[in-house]
Amino acid sequence: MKMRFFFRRIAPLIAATLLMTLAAAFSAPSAWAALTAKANHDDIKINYNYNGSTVSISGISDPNVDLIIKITSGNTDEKLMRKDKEAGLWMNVEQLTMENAPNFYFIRSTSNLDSLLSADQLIANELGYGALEQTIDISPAKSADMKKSLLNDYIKYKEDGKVYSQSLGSIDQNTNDAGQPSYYTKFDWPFQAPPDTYDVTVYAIKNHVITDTAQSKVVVEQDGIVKALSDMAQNNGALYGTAAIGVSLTAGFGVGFIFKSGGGSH
Amino acid sequence: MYIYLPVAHTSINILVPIVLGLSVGLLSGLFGVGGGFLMTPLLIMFGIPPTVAAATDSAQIVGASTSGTYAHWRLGNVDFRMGIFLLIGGFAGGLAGVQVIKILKAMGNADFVIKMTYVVMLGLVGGYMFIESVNAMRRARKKDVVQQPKGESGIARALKKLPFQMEFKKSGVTHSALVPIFFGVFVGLLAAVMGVGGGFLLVPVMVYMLRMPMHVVVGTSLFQILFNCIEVTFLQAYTNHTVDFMLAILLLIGSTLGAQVGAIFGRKLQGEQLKILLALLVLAVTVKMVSELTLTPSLLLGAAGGGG
Repeated sequence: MKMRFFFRRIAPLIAATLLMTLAAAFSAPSAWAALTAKANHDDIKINYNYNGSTVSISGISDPNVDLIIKITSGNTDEKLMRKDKEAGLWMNVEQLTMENAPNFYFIRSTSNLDSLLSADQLIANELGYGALEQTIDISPAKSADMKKSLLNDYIKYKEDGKVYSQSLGSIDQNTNDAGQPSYYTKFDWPFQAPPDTYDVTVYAIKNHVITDTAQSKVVVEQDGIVKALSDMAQNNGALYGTAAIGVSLTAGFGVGFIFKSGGGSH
Repeated sequence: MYIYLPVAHTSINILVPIVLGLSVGLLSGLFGVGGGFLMTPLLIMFGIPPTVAAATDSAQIVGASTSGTYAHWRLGNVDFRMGIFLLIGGFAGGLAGVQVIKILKAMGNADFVIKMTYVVMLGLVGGYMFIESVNAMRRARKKDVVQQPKGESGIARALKKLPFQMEFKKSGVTHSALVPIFFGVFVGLLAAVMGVGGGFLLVPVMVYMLRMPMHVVVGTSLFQILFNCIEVTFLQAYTNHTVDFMLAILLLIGSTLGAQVGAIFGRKLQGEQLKILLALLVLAVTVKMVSELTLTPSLLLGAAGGGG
């Protein structure tokens, strides 16, 4: 009687509980696998000999998720000149404004973005060049084909300036020294990236769903003589201009005197 | 070794601006041109933003032209009186040129006009100087041919009738003060439209229109360029904040030395040889500009405000 009761009532409950536990273990992130993000070089100082840097992003992540890392520094409107042929010659024909475009845009991922998330999710989170084509507007407005072509040109322009980069399959997932599952990616930080605070967002993805995110920051700031000159140029143009002229005149006369004393005179 | 440029927000190998400055300074001392029409595109090629390249080049030209003017003054090659009249005209022409650009921009075809003016003016100036100098050298070689003194042209006679005639002793010519002012306006207007200092236009004007000897032309042109670029540097620093001090200093290290070497080297060349070399330089820039206008660019978008 007791055995029958056990198999009829208790055993299914135990089995269900076991199944739920197993399912939870495979789907939800466990405590030790909570996503973290850390930039190794998060305070970059621009001094007189600055030529860019190397930044690595690492952290702990569930080994069974895919990852996308996005680094941006806010969106802005950027004015550009469009070149086209006029009377058979290439020249600037129109000024365009790229509205709501990221100043800086780096994407790293464990695999192809289209295989990780739906198009709508990529657009909603501004993930990948394809999503940027949806979030950036062009003024004056263009036809759909023209807009697509111009946005491709814009991405090419920004890549040429080293401030846009997309590298898929470039995140290593392994186990760290403490035996925790971790991820790691390293890349050159371009000197073209201006002083700013850059947001690093890491997305964990499983079964086409973003299951977790983690944030970090990279701060780039001017320092020393670079900061002093930059501040002076921006805030005290008259003094800066006068100083530039004074130095130029002094250099010109100085070299002239050196050559004179060296026998250059007639 | 790399150095970071605080206004250009660019890192550059320290040798690049020094060597560029040296090369362009050499041309400046040799031919009396500021070299902006060469230096600005070269700086852009090495990753300096166009607005910063143009403004910083002005600061660099101040140093190079100071050095060059000083060297030529010691050699007795600067006609200060002529230079001042050209400056007055150039200043008025520059103001008019800025208004012309405003109108063209409003009409929407400024870039086309600027580029075509560049190509046509460079081509005409370079071509004319080259042909004229080759012919002059050929004539000089034919020693058996007796040179007939040229009669005064109608234009020359008309110019002689203008008021305010005065002697420009250093240049060995007599002109009405209105003549250099007029040509100063012409060069200043074109220079403002093209966004350059105008040395490569002023040199042919002084040689062919004002009939000044080539060596005095070089020194006087540098004197005029010096003052133009002082004004431009100040305005660019004050209004646009686009002068990069560090870049200017590196360019200056090269250009002030180059200008001195150019001035000394130029004295060893004959006037016609100098003209041919300048003509070849101007024609080379023309060819480069024509190729840029005809070949498909790698990027179809560029920074706004990059100039011509």
